[in-house]
Amino acid sequence: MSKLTLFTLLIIFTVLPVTAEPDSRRFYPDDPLWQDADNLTIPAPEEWTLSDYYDFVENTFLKVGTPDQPVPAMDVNTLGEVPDSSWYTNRHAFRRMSLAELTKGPNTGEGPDMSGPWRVIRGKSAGITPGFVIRDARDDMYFIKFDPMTNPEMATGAEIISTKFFYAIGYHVPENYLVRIDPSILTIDPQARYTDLWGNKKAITPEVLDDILRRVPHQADGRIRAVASKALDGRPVGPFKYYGTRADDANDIFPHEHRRVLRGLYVIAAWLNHDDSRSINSLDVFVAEGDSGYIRHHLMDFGSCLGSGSVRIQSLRAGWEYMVEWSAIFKGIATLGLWVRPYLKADYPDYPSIGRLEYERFDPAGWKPEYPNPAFQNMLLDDAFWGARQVMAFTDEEIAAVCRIGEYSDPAAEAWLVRCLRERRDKTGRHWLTRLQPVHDFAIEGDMLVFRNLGLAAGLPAENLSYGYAWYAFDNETGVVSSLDRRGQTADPAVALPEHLPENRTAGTVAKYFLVKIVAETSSQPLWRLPVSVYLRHDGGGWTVVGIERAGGDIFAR
Amino acid sequence: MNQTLTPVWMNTKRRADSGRRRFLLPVLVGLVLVGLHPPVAASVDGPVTRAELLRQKRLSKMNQRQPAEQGRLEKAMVYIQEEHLLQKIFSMEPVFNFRPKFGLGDDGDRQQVLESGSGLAFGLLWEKKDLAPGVHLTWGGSLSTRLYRLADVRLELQDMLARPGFYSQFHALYWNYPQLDFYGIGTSSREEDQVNYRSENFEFRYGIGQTWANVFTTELAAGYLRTRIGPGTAREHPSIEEVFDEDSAPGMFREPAYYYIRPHIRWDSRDNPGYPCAGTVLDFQATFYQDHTLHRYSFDTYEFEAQQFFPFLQKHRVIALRAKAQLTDVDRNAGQRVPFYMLPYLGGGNSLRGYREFRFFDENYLLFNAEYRWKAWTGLEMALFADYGDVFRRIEDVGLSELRCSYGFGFRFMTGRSVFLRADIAWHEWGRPRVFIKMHKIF
Repeated sequence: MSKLTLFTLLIIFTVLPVTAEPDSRRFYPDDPLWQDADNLTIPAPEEWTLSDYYDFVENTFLKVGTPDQPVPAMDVNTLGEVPDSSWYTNRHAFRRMSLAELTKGPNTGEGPDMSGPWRVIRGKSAGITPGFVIRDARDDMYFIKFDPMTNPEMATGAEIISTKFFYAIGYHVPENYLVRIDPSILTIDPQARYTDLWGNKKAITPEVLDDILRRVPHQADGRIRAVASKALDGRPVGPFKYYGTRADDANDIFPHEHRRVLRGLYVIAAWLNHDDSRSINSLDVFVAEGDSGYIRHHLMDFGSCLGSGSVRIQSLRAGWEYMVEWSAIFKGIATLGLWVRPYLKADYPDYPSIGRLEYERFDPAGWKPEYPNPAFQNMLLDDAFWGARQVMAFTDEEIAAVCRIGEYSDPAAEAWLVRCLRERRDKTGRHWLTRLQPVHDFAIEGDMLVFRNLGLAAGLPAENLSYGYAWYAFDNETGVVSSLDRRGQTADPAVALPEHLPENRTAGTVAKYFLVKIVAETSSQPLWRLPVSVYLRHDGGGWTVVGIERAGGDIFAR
Repeated sequence: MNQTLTPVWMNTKRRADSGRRRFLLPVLVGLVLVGLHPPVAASVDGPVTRAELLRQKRLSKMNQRQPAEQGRLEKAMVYIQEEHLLQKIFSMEPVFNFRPKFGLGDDGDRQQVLESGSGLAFGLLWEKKDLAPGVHLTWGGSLSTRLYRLADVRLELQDMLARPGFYSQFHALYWNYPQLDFYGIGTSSREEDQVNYRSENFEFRYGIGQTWANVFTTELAAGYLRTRIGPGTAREHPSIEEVFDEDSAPGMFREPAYYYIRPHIRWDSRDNPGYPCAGTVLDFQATFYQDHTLHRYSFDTYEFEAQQFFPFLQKHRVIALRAKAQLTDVDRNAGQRVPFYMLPYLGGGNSLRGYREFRFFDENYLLFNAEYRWKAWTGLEMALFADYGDVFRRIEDVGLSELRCSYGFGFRFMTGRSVFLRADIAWHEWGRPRVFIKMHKIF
């Protein structure tokens, strides 16, 4: 053997395994990551202005962010969960919140000082609901939003209730308080201005204020029910878009359309009928720490949720059809009206304080926001599964408790809202939890890997249910999977951990990573035969669930 | 993983390739040792944790940080929005109480619309609401591409004498329409006889009325009307005097002036007058014209109208029906006649749509319109329609037999509250469609 040959062989033997992919590990030692530290300090970004019109045109006609092929969500840990970040904080579905916590939501205090005076400092220029901005006696700033004259309690109820749900799910939302304003506590700041319909800045005079208040419903005692939305801490730097990243935010490395927290929002928005889930109803805030800081991302303005359309009851089309949907328009024209849109067959009981909300014809996968949302368009079944889990986390009792804080004067209206949300939740579960293997919540208990079947928890039928499993060794460096010849069937949602750990073939050490594939077998749910792969790490004496992968989760959900 | 950091061994390799072969063996031994080392050690310079990997990506973006940029289209639309340009254009922001207006006349619901055949018309409207409590003043003028012009002043007093719904109105108008069409009088008039004429009028009207519950209105008005007729200005058709004479077109070049009295009652329960989907309209109006200058053209007219809207499927489908009749009473025994330009007429986009505008003139007419309307989209309503009607010389001849028929379909573009553009395509015989573009609803 020549020296050259020897050299070549040595290179092949020694170097290639090292150079093949220097960072090919599937799992890192700190996986699963539960905290994405996307709060590296950055220089203060400029505020940018969103054009509603452009957002509509861009998403309706330019099709930005429209997917060519499925792309797995990028903002998730190896379990498929969204770590805590500037976008999201794991809450109710991760650690159950008490009823008190759920109904308190994001609120840190009691709301604005109702003893007055409230200084009106400007008109409310963003959003479509009538209102203004005040500073209370503590000098805290609040955005005051009212109900439309035709529907007392509707928009305020929708805003308050939806805020609690979105907060409990984990989104960053403003502190919204339901208040009853005595108009006599309102004073006008001499510098207060509002922008009229044609863009002219005008002084807020007592007549202007009276005009605003004249156009909103008053209670019998003369007070006015409103939402006081506390100004967010930090400096607003504009809304976020549902695609791409913010160029001036180094922390923003995952394209928004590939964030599970935004893709899965589709399922949640459908449940709450948040048809206004678009950029205009989001806000990035620069949280300063000295000269620098980081951007935190918020959802806001939930006045167009549930049965409310903010300034009127929710339109018939809302949730069913985009503002411009060519196929529906052409079908509408060509069939001479013989094609009847599904929403025209829906029955809505007449509850002015609820607006237009129903559950019987609600379609969790067919629901649509006002116009296409790139993140929703990119939603895969895994994302929808995540969203469905957030929705399913609310019990009947919890939904009723949250709806109670809407303080509806008509008990029948509140009961209808509760019923709608329960039924829509159940439909959400029935739809999304039957598309994938629904076993979840894996944990180590003694020498067993236990889990929960979310489908069963959602009341889905599952006759003669059993779970099949098979164990494998998993080489974290190469991705090679080797059977351990340990497979079986169990009726209980628990699988025994491997007793004798096999040798790692590559390095001659005890294998650190294992894989168990689990299927649920029942004639009632054919798609539950799709396996879920659960990765475990054994280090020292302990086991950790480090990865979850659902077969079929990487295809488009809609 | 995008990190491509240089492993330690690569520096060693470069040295081995430097040609210093005498160090080959130790190098090879070293390589073997490196190769047998657990692979993870090879990437010790790369991120060792997920958190570090993400941190490195963020630091990398930090180095390439750039300001958020918006494209030209987006910038333009931001400008449009911040300057409220669309609102300024479409909601017609008053400037010193002036605002632009489109059209010359109104469609019976006081919406300013185009007069049939005028071409596009634009104008200015000056409006001052609450000049004094309950007093509204409006004045304006319009000019069309065919040189039709109109000017009017309207002064309204609402809730007079502290009585809700009690109102009075003074209205003064001047209009000059230089090429109105005329085909002769009677249902048997011929298309080939088409001529045109100028009509110039001046009118004062004062009315007083009461509205109850926003539904029922009674009004009594009195007015003065000065008429003037002249040769038409359209070149494609002869002027009226070239084809017709006083017998076949009474009142031609005669210029009576009228005093008139007009009682009017109306029941209007439509849900949205600009775009009705439900409700009823019952309307009756009589006008007693007294020719006080020539004493040859006095007559009375009686106008009836009924509209009914039957909605279904959440008002996304509507059956809309209308019946109209106008009857004229003239004392022929006393030598009175009705000037041709004051005669009721049928034809065109607002009545019998398979026929041209102003196609049939006579002393009486009967008209039925039926539409099946369906919403194809939020801003678009479609309609299939049929029109039946005809003109009659004598009241005794008015009947339902042998009415003329036209049919067709239409597109209606809507804002939330009203139809702002209507395109109706109609036939009275196959192969000769008529297209009408209107900036208001038909009813």
